[in-house]
Amino acid sequence: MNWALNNLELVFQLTLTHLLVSLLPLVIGFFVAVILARVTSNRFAPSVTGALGAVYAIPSLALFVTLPVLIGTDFTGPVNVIIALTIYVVSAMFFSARDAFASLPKPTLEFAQAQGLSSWQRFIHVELPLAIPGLIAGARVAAASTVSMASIGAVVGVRNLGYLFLDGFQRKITEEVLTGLLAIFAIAVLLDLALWLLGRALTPWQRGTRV
Amino acid sequence: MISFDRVTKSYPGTTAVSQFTLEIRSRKITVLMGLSGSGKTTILRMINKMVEPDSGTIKIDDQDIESLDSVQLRRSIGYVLQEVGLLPHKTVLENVLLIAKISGQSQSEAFKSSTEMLKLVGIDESFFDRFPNQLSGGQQQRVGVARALAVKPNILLMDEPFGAVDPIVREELQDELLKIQSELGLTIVLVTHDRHEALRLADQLVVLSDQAQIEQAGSPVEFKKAPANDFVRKLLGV
Repeated sequence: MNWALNNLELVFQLTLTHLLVSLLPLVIGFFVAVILARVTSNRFAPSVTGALGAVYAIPSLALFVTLPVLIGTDFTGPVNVIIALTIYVVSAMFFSARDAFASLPKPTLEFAQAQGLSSWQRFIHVELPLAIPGLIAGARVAAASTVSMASIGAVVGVRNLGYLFLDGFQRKITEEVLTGLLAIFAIAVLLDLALWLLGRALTPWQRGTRV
Repeated sequence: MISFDRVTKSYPGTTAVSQFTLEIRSRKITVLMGLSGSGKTTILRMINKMVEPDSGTIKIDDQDIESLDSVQLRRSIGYVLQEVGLLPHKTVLENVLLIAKISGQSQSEAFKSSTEMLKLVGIDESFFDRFPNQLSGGQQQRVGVARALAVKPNILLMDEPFGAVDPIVREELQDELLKIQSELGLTIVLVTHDRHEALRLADQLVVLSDQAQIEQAGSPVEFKKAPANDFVRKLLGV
């Protein structure tokens, strides 16, 4: 691990960028997926599902390279990568979000409507809090895949941990590649842990007590 | 008074309620009884516009409810259903508070009415901070009733409210309801298929057959004295 120690500052810098390039798409994608899942009625759901399934099948490098052509972003900037990753997060999260909303307890929903909660009040007080476990589960899957996929951004010029793979590969420094691998692994594990804790904090009733 | 005038509701392939006419008296308990599929729940759900009739008029105190905003109307009518449907992520007190607040009460007013109603239905303060999954079925339904009362309704709709609890608890809850009714004097419309419950609770009992055809309506005493036909006799065991 001499290599990592000698390049600590670089690794730290790259880790920060990597975290940023992963977190932004996760947060934005999460909200987009939740809204999309909630507003697509049963009638539209199949077509949305189909479209997002197809998007998920596009190789990430292809999307990174095509996006600038389609929407005019900078070929080598982080914006391009962030948008592409957001699209992946949305398509990965949409399914679990849709299922989370579809499996809410019917009597609770019926009561909320029958006692006069408006649709917005039902969403805020009933649907969203009850969907949290499903949404968090989806976010954990999306987080892991986004953190690893973000490294491909290095190919199109975003200097994140993926850079260590490219550079280490070209210069045949195994330790450099391993350092990148470990750092990405660490980010993924920490994000997963954070989401798990967030889910726990937001669902106190599932533990049966308030504390 | 709630009045139904030639109300009809059809679903694809079936007519649930056909030309239903009835006057539901204020401050009394009206029990709608019938077999499943008799349209009794549909009638109940038309009172708070959860179901809109195809034709006919429904009036509450001479006001046609068609012209009323459904969300506003629902906030003024208590609703209790068999599966209770408490919000599992909120404590007992929070469950009641939320409903009190959406009905337009201020924080302090809502707190007052929520705690009052919980105590009225026999929920001790030590249960206020529990989550619904920590309560028995009977306790859950008590909270369900308290929650519906917290909006300070004149009308209380109850759809098989005690159908999911065991017989002993059911009788306790029925007693509790009669006690509450003697205190609050609400217009209660209760749907059941349990004959004992119907005869025990009703001021006015309405027996329905298919498509909500009224076989007989009257007080339990009238039913016992003079059942209208074999269907009524069989359904009520009188």
